[in-house]
Amino acid sequence: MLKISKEVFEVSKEWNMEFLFSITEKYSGMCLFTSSYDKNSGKNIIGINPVLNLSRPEEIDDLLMLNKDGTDFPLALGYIAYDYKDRLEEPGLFSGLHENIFPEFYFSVFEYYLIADNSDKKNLKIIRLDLPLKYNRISQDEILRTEILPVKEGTTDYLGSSLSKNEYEEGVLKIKEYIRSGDIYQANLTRKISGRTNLSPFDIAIRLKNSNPVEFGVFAKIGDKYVISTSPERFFRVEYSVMTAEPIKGTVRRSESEAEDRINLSNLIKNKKELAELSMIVDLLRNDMNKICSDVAVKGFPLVMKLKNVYHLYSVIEGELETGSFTEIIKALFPGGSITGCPKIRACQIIEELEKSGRGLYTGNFGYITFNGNMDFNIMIRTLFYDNGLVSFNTGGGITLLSDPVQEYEETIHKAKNIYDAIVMEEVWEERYCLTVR
Amino acid sequence: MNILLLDNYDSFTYNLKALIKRSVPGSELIVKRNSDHDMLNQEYDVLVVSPGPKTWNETGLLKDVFQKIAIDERKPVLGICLGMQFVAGYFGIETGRMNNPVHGSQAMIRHNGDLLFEGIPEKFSAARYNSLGFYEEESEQLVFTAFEDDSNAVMALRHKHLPVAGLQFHPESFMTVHGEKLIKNFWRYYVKDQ
Repeated sequence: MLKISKEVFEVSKEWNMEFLFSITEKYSGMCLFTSSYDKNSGKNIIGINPVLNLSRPEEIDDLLMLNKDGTDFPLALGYIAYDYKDRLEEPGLFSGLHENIFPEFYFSVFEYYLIADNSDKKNLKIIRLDLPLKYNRISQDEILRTEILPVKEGTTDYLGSSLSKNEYEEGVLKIKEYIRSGDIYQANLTRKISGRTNLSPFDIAIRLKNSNPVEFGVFAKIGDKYVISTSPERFFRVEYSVMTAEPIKGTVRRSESEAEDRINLSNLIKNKKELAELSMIVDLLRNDMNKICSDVAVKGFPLVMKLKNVYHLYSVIEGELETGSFTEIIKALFPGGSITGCPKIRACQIIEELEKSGRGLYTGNFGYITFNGNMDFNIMIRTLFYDNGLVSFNTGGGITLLSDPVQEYEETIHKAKNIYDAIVMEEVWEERYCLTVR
Repeated sequence: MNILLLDNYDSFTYNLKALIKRSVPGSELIVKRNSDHDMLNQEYDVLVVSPGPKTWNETGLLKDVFQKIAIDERKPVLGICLGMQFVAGYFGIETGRMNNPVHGSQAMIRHNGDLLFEGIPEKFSAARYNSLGFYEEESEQLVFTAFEDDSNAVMALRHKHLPVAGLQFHPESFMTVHGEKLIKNFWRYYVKDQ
């Protein structure tokens, strides 16, 4: 592992998200972005020119050990795929479904990090890492001169769903039977929709970004493949020694009529199914945090998140982190309880049985780690994957004893609507009525 | 004191661990999954059985561990949720599907004054996470000490002669109000008397 020194520059440069995505595209970057509802808050972090790739959590610990200092500049950006769960549990617990399109654990240390603060669209902070010369160096000027790519029009053809309407609805019924027989209290069931597109990853990223305010967004180029996430959900954050998790459960559509909007919100807050789901996930997250934290406490329950099209219920759980090891942290927490179900291990087994294919990166976590050991990771929901003209994304929801199969399937269509619109994919007959599409 | 917290591959085990550590200052807990044979070769002073998936018969080595600690050595045991169902099943009370399964909500619990509930109001709120359960019936070995107020489903029990108790609801949940007091009482009346 390397001992890395760094230089920090403040440069005067007008920027927008199109500029940041264009840089990401040009230099095989990773861009973590936020376009919060309140447009002037939050910051965007872009890694430019990957120099060192890390494929195991232990490598991150080695890197941190050598380079830990008091600064909160990014040290590595990357992700853990949902399918990586098999490696963190005792062998044989899971059936070993893997999607095999992207690496399952992938972090990069970049030559440059760009920090773009939403409150200041005229300046950028640039951090240059001093890494061995054998790598292809690029200059700061070159980065700042990056031309903004044009956003082109295009369409996407529907290729199919990993589960048909019937299969999904049967899956809901099977989960309800597993709940009835005492196996689980709740499980998340999703299906993967695929398409072929003539839009570029950049086009899609811009369209998705414009379609909805995004809290924990990602636009990343991994080799010749892309991750585009419009996640509203934080998995966990570490700030100095405080760990915070913010699970989301419970959604209601917003209305254009103010009165109706208020009624929708008040129904959500009183909805027993949603509150029970959130409670369960709060207890599950408390459990996982209790493995590595002391003084774990629920700081807010339930809280309301207001987005453009929906309200969500969420909760904030805090603890005093007792380890500095990234490996220990992900062993304790991964995969995120809000996208598995409870108890987690049995829920993951049932998900494998019913979804029949690996989730890949979907419901994994993308985020960053800083030089002082701080970190922030999202839950990769509402996320699209691009591989040479093929796009895929999952949609699904939490199934409880109170779930109705037909409504749950409808909900998967509703939740995918934003992505459908952004990639200009027509809703097909098969989606709504199909028996089987492969 | 050596406390074994037997984990039935559950997702609330570490909440239970944190609750016990908070309620019993200085306690050290060893967490072992129910498949870990190592448990049978160690000496423990107390056994706590976690909640978990499936039925009381599908709990790995729990039966062997319980036999050793509770029956052979007559040491204290506290079973939570599936853990309580195991204790009931071991002494002949079968668990079945309940009429009112609840997961992640509070239920009103009514107790009948057992020492485990000392200092706790006769009725109190606690979190339920279960589809399976049972109702009061004749038992030579067990005494039922708390019930769900509306359904009368059994929510707590103890053994007539052994220091063994069980709770169907979840003392470790953030929705349960008297979790810490329950653990303190268990330690005061079931563990310390040993």
